[in-house]
Amino acid sequence: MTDDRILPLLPRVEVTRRDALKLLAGGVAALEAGCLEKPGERELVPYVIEPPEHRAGVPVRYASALTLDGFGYGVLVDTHEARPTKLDGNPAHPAVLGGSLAWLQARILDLYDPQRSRVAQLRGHDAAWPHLAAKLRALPPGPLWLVMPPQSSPTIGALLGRIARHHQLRVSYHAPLGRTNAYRGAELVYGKPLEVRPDLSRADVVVALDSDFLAWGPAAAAMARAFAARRAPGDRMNRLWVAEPMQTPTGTIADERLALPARDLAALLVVVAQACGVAVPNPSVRAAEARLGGRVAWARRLATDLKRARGAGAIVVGDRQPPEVHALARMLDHELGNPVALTPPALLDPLGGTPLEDLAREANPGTVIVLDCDPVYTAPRLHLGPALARATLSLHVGLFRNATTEACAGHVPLAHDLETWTDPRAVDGTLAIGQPAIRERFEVASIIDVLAALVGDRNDARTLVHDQLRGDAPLEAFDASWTAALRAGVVPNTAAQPTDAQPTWRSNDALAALLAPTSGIEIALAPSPSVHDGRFAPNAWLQELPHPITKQTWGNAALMSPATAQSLGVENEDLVRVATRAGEITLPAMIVTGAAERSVTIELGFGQHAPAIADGIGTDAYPLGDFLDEGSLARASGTRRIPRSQLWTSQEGRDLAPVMTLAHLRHELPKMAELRGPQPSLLPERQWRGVQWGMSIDTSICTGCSACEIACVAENNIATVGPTEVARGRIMHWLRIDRYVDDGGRIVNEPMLCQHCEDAPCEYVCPVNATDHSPDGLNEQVYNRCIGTRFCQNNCPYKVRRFNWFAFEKDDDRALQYNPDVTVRSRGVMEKCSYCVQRIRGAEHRAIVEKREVKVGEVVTACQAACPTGAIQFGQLAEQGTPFAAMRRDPRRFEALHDLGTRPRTQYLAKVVNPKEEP
Amino acid sequence: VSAELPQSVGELHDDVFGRMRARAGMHWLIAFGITGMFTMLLVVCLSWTVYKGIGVWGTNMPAAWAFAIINFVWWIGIGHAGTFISAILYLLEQGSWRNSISRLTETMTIFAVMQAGLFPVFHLGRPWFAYWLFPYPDVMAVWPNVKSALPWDAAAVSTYFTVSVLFWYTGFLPDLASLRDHSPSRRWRIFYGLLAMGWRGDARGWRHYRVAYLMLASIAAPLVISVHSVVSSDFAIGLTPGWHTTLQPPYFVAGAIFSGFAMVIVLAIPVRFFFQLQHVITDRVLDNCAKLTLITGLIVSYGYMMEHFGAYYTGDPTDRSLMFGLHTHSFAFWLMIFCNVIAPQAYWFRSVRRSRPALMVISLFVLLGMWLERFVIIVQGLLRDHTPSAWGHYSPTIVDLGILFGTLGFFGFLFLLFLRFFPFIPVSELKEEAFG
Repeated sequence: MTDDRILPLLPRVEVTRRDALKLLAGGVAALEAGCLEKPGERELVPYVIEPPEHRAGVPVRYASALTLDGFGYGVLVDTHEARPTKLDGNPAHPAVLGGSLAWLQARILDLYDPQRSRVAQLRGHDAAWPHLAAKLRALPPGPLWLVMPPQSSPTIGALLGRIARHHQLRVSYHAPLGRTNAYRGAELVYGKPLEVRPDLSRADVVVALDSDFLAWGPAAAAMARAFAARRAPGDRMNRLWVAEPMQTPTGTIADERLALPARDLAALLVVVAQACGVAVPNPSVRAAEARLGGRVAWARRLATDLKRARGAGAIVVGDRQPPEVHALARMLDHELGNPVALTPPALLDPLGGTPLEDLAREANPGTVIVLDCDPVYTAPRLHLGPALARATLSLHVGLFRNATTEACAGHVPLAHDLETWTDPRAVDGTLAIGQPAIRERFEVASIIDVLAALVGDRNDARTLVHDQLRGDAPLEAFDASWTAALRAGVVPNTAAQPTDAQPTWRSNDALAALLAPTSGIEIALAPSPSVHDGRFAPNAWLQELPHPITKQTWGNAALMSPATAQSLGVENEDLVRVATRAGEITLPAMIVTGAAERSVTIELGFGQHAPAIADGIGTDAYPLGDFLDEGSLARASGTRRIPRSQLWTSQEGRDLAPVMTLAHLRHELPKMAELRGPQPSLLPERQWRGVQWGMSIDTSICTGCSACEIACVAENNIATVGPTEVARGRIMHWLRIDRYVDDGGRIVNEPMLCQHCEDAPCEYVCPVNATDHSPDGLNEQVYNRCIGTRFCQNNCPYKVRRFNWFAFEKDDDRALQYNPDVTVRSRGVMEKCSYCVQRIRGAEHRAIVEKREVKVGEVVTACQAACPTGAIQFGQLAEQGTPFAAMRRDPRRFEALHDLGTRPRTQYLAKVVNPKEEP
Repeated sequence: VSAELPQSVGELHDDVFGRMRARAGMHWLIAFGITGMFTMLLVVCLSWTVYKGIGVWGTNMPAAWAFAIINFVWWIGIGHAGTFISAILYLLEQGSWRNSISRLTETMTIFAVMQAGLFPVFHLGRPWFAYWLFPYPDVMAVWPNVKSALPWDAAAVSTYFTVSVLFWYTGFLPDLASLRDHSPSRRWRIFYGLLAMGWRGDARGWRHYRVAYLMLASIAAPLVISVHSVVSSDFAIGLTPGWHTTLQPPYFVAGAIFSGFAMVIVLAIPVRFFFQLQHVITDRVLDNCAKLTLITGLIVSYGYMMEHFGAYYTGDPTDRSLMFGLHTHSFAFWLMIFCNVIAPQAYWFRSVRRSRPALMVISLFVLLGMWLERFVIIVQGLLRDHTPSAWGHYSPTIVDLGILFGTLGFFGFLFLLFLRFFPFIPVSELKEEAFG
């Protein structure tokens, strides 16, 4: 892939006429001096004869891998003329199974981000990476400290082993939102850290304790898929119990949900475990019951259900819960015989290596290299600045300049995952080969490059990854399997083998401490569903992605229940001061129904100072210290606007998103029949001939994770508008996820996009026929005919149309990422979901060339491809034997706002929940 | 009837033309300066809008139409009284009181329609393509969508403007000729002479003139009804709650005439005061205007009632929630009710109808109320549409306000110029009325 045919992608700079003349003069002078050659620059050779694997206009897909917090995520990269433009989950990769997560979709933008750091620096001067690499190769043996996210790459593991032979190596695996507690909990019961993976396909009862496992974690997409497969209403429908302090995507599709402060979960689990037969000391049980009060009943109901489903349960505990809670959950699993796979963790050192605290205390840290993380920002309590200053050489290697860059002597731009070779493991141990999809845009180094330099290895990352995988195998024999692995994106048979371990654990003092009575308000810190621990804060797509629950964009807030807010006398957007022992911050309040009383959740990753667009967006919550702590909350003066994409969560009695229970399904389903099909009309019936397209969306298995929303942004060149414009109601997303909450607190996530109505209200009001119907049933928007009256938007009852109020695309610095098959819209025209018409037409063109019909399942929309649970299905109305065809016959299907007679081509399946019947 | 009028043709003539030719007073100059400044504001705001995009306005995703369309409907409505007075009252032979203000109100119509005409163009995302609304012979054979109300709008408003200008100009000819004949200098004689198009005032000319004027009045009269009915279709054909009702056309027409008469009163009172024309624009004229305001106001009030009754009676949850309980701008709604329903009730009293300060205040209330009515209908319906997840907020920007006040300024600016250079009283008609 990285061959000489690929054009060098130089940074774009704004050039004025004067600059141009200066550059011209400089260029001529440089030519004269014969020193124009820049490293990495090659001749431009146009495709006079196309190479066989490239066809102008036809995208090429490569398998590669992304890494987050050490775990690999297999992706397929669409490249257009050697430009990666779109990512999708690799169906062969066990962590995603073809589904996506919002961040995974958004990583493509980072590749082209103009804010990316481009030049290596040392002590304030520009330095070339090769020069710094030489410096690292010449590093005399001595203390060496590496700070980086957890790693699972065998190549990195081998390099670290080699480094340790030369240097006094200490490695701190720093992931602010890591899974250390889970591994420590496993260590408590099994004697060693193990990866505990519940088998959701066999679980009738799933319990999520302070865990958003359907949208968060190294296997979220795969778990969501497995969970959703057991969600069809019927005998095999599973039941999800969720206890959590804040509403999460997982909580939105819970059958039984309890809003419980995160620190009370230990008590809940003690009561459940004891009721299920786990030996828990009586004082602990009494303490736990006292702690839970009236909520004991919920715990007992849960225990009854778990016992009923003995051997078919799954218990997932959130990463921020203390190890003792994880340990207790494992004991409960064992007691009930729940199907779990115990495997050796994929990470090199699951317990995190040398604690970062040691670095802060170290008087003589020697050389410190911080790779791909920002500990100065994410661990403010440690005050790493002085330690980095004491180092003989401190180097930050990162995609962006950040707070740690400022504290280090040197900086090296990091290669994006799509620019380099990686070999991360999935959570189950499966090895993926991450191959580059584009040549490095700048002079960058990957983690492997830096580590290789430290051992004086001059091989490039490809050789290192290749040789690591080859091991002792003969080169010839290995070649075929290497190529096969590159094609598939995963190396077969590398998943870790389950081990059989017997848990033993006696509850200890730490558990007793967790059950002690508390006072004060819980301050719970949580990962941001969009910017993660802050590493994605420069990503404009993720910043603009509405929060799955609060629908906030561009920032965070103190999330609290209505009662908590009332007791403080605050309303949405009022500033509150949140203080813990560690520190205090001031940020706007946001009221969330479904939040636990006396618990306030604040999401991390915001309030950074360095990367340009993240600067000053939201409030930094890291100074508050521990993830779960006690603190105080007070109203501060003033307000701060929260840019939200949805303000109203009641359905107001309209037929938009019905919910029914499994037990009453028989009575509820006939009502659905009234919400679909033709309405009486004076207009002549329209004849639809030939292939007709439609979409079905199952609201039962939509978690609101928002992967589809970013996939749509990436596929359809949708502009980012920024917080001010979002607050003014001008977000451009074609697909939004509506969230409705009924009086009982029950939530429906409803992806809302153009419904492609057969009798479309937008069409007849357009004075210039800029929106019209195609013969195959698409509501089409003709951009160059649109004059921008916005009448269509007024008349759209679903309000799915988006208007270009300004020339938004001019500030959207992503020209290289644009999908060349989709028009980039400019100022003054309306736009909306097209059912990915470019993909439909592409398939039709292929069919014409190959002299055949469009195949069933050949057209997959971007949102459909991204959805980890398969909630979105697209296809031909006449097709048979596909999930889409099944959904078109499902008795739960309905059409939103059916009474208006718009006859939408998009149908929804009503949400079914499966609460436990009371005896 | 004409007891207050001057006793001879010459006297009347000098009375009106003399006032017109007098040196511009300080009042006029100040007013001219202020309206000129607002006209510049309008130019600046519209230029900025075209340069940056209509994102500089407060319009957003549920409220995709707001100030521009409100202002458009409001200005078009104001224009209606002019045509009503000059055409319908002419056909109904109400010359005894209509003549003295007919020129004033026709001019008001033209200038108001000019303000209104700005909005449908500048509110477009791409205003340079506004001509696509018209069925011009395009080489690609594309045609406007005749199912949409907007091409109807374009046709109705342009027809209305054309007919109003023709009607106004035809009525103007004898007076222009009179001005030509009495101009003190050659320059003005050429100026008015060209405008008078060779009017000589002979019997044949008058005969043709009468026929033409009657025919134009007959064409203009139905337009009073049709134009605002078509404008109301912009809303009535839509699905948006509060828009989608067959009530709209009569309700809009009544509202238009209602606000138009209010504007007539607001203009006539200062003109009569500053030009000392109490004997021409008499108390009776104002009294009649007030009566018509009251009548149309009652029709508008009936409209409000039926709108709410319809929402209640059909039981449609969307309409019901819009009309009862989910007002986004309840202050605007209640102020509108005060201005349009309650305030005009004072016109039942003769003393109020004869009191110029009271007339002025109530008329300003009506103008405000009718603007608010369009605001309530357009913005509130959009903000409380069928899908609650998309419900939002609306607030205008400084550019929105600049354009609204800019058009008020531009309207005043044109009107002041007209008062200075043209006979704003139809002298020939008054002569005919007074001296047969």
